[in-house]
Amino acid sequence: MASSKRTITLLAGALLVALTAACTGGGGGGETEGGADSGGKTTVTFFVAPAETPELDREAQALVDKFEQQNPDINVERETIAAEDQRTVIQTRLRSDNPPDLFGYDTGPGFAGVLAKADLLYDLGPAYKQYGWDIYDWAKQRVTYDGVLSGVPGSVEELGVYYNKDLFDQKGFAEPETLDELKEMADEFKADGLIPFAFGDQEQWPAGHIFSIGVSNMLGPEGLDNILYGNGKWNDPEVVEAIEVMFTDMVEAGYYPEDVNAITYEDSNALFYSGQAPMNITGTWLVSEVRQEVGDRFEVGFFPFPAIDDTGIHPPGGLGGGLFVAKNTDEPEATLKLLDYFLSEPFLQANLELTNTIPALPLETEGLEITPLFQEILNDLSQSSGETAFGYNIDVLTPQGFNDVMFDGFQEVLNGSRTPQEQADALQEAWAKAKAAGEVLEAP
Amino acid sequence: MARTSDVAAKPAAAGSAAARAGRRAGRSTTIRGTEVRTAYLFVLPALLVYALFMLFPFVTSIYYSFTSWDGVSLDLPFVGFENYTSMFDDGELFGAFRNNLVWIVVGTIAPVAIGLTLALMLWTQKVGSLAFRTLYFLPYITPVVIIGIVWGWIYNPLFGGLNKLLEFIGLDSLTRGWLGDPGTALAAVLVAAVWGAFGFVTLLLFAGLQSVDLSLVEAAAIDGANWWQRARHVIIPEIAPVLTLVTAITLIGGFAVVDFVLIMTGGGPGTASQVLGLYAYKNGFQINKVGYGAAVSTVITILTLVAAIAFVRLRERGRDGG
Repeated sequence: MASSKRTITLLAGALLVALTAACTGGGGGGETEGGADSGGKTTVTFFVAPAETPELDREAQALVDKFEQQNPDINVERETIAAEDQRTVIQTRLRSDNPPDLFGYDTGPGFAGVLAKADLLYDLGPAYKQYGWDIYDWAKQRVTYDGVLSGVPGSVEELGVYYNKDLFDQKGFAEPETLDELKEMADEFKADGLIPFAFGDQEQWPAGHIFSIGVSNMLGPEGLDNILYGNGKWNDPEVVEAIEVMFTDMVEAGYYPEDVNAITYEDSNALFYSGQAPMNITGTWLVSEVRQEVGDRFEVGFFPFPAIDDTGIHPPGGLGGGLFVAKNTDEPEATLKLLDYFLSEPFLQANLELTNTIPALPLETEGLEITPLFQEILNDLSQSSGETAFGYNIDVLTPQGFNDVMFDGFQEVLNGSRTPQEQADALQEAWAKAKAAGEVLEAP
Repeated sequence: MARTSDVAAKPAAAGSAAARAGRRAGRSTTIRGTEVRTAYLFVLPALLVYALFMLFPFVTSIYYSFTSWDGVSLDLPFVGFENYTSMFDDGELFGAFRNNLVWIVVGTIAPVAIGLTLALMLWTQKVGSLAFRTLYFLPYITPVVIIGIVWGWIYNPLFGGLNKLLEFIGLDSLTRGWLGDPGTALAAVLVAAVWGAFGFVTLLLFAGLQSVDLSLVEAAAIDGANWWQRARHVIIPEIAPVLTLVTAITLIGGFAVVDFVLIMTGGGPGTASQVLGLYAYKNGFQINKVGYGAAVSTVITILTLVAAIAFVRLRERGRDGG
């Protein structure tokens, strides 16, 4: 009896020691993450959001595998993290002993800007010089925080309208250039029992894109610059009108699906793919998915949202995220080598063909296999200047506190419980708070 | 002599017995001391885990609530009670609190009422009881994410079963985007949560019913008590401890709810289904206001503690009062 009691006591003690060791990380274990692995290879960890579809994600992984083949001494651990989990995972991991060497993240002040402020990002200025990365200046400005070039811009994206060319042809419609033309088309489609625009806002962020389109057309890039970097206000009459046009009027006219706040982004895209909605207002990141989902069932075109009254056409354009290196990376050389591979012409061309990703630097596209839809988008992007200069996708330039007010508020505008003026006032109030807290972007 | 010796022998014997008893007591104390140490050793691992993963984060969270930490930088500026005082000017917080109150009332009463009814029915049911218990318990062991997604499909305005059913029975006017309508979003999420919880309540109450003295129920029946009177005056008082436990657990869950709302509506449309837990999460992890988020979490914890203690006290007082 005494013996078994002693055994139990010893077992309990052993368990305690084991548990304490486990809780404190123990000791004596070899490093398995990051740095040089057992095979003498250097391991680079790479965190990135998964591609739109599993098939596209496999293609993206294949491009990374190619880098490993070209650099047998480097092993890349590519880890996909869902966009909604990125913030918590990346912020936590950057403070750990094993930060991701390279990671994809949003470039806005509420995202990478926060990391830069906390001194968690690697200064890439010298690497730009060393490797001669020829990124567009406007794009470099988006990844520069407090004067430090801390990232590499990812893809260039544009917000616009995908449309079902077959349905347009049946009606004899051409791409509209004014809001009135667009409304006439929408009325006819509605009379045919179709939902003119596929749009769902359950996730809240899609409304940010609709707002960006309206406010970009109403104000143009100069007007937006005045708000973002000057003394302009989010409750100026033009902004209120943009909200009225893009939200209140559209809902009242029945151009969006009923119960738009209960429809997800995926469901709204499905309305377009199934032919129930002839137009879909979203971004160019969807090109590959559109190609896969629609297949040969109908032809798809893309046009920038037309002019509102006598304004210009300024489709919101900008960066779809960027790549960043952790300040505490153990393998800066190998990581920069991988980054350089991602910016090499062969990679960018392959990526452009496979995933329709538009890089933020000049790229030769002649001879590449490009779908007509994607070519249309490339043409549209290349024509952006002067009267048709890009506007901005607002939520990547504004802090998260502002975005929160924007996203919540537009759901209320869509369900009629908040007026455009009230929403504009709420935006301005949030902006003033963010400005006072020093959370907004610095003027370029 | 003999007598004397007898007399003398008695105290001696008594002294000897006392000494033996003392030795036994000493040994007993030693044994008890060993047992206590062993017991502590067994408890210690769990205590360490609890301290490491519950107490430490809780205390740290309280500390964060007095800072304006953004969750990323190493700088934790101390702001005193600022996070707490600024809550009084936060309209969204009060909206979330109102929703929590609705959740606590409906989300506690509904599963307990449904669970109690079903448990009583199962208790009196001799055939198929196990099958029904398994069936009722299934939602509870289904991950919340799955429940949220499936109910999201049911409510979907494009293809959801609920609207199709309403159309089928001629109630077209009631169809809507249940999760996108500010008037129905919270209720729709609550229905899913109640569906996910009632099986747990049913099972616990059913287990509690096994200890009910059947002779009392039979005596009440002989005395002419009907079904409701037997349940109200005999059965429910017998299962009061279990009923208190499940009600307290459900009540506490109502304060801490995040998962269902996050998955199904994200607090929307607008802030129509916002709850305190989600609001704390949003501040802490989405807009980098960890200090404020921690302050909201601390308030939730205090409210939960106060409500749980008040409920248990009330229940005890009610029981003592007869």
